[in-house]
Amino acid sequence: MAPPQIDLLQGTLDVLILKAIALQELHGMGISRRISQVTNGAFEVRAGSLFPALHRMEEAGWLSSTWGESETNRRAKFYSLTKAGKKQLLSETQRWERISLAMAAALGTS
Amino acid sequence: VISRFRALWRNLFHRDQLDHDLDEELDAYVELASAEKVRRGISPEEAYRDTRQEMGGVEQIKQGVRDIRVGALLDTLVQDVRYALRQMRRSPGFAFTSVLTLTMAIAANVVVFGVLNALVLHPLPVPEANRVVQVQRPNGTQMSYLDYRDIRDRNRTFSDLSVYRLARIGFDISGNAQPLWGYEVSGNYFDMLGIKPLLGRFLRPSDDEKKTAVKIQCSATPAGRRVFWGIRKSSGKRYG
Repeated sequence: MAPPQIDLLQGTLDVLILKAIALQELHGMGISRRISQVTNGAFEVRAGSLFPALHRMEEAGWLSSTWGESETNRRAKFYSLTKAGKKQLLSETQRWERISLAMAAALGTS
Repeated sequence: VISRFRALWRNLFHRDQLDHDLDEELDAYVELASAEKVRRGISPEEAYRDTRQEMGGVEQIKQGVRDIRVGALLDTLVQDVRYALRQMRRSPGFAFTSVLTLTMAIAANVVVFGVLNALVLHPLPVPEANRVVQVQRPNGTQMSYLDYRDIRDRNRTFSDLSVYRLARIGFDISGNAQPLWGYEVSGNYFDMLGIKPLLGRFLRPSDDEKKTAVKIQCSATPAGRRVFWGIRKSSGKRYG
């Protein structure tokens, strides 16, 4: 039984992508799977939102990409964090911590 | 910022390569997602169909990526211009009418602005230009020099009255006679406007009373000295 899906909040996709490739470089499919894994299936990123986001973040200089071999020996484009991407991830993480603390306090669940 | 410039450069000049890469990237996604489903025991055909369905339209995804590229606006602009040109070729009558309408509208604006510019924004280059007015007969006909003299001598409305007439004159430039359009003016013309030459003198009211031509030297610019002949109105003769 799959957990209920949550709509992606504005600005969540970027930080999830940054986090997904923080440890190792991944291709588009891998990023999608990793996000679904780390959020326990709450976020299912569709290709229609994933690829525009990847290309936008690459143009912004947060990601760099190289062509490599997938686990099934398929040529695929792998994304990894740049220095600017790491900085972005750090500041976004802090921002989300503040937001989630504030929301938890406001809703009285903490 | 540098990465954005690099991206813009790529987007503008290596579009084919980018689109090819994007195609391959999406193909890889479809294959990898299908392969995953096959591992879970779904038949390859069904897995492929499922993946395509989950993705939505591949074309829409590609357009989504193109839309976020730096310079996508420029791309859209080029497409719009191409579309406009195609439409114009398809209906030349409409295109002609549009061009004609625009031409006339722009021309009318240019004329109106030209007049406004000359009259309001750049008034006459004389002191107190707002006090200079033109006096005409109601029916627009010319008046004789004698009529002018009568009106001038009885005038109590204006501080001075001067008269001028368009004339074809011969002008002697270092031995060669040149036909020129000029104005014949009364002797008080320059005094009335309040302008003085940098060197020499213009006509003055007393020149009107002389029976023969007077020689005047004057220059409007400090560099060149030019020789002009004053011409007596009543004599009717013109000298170069």
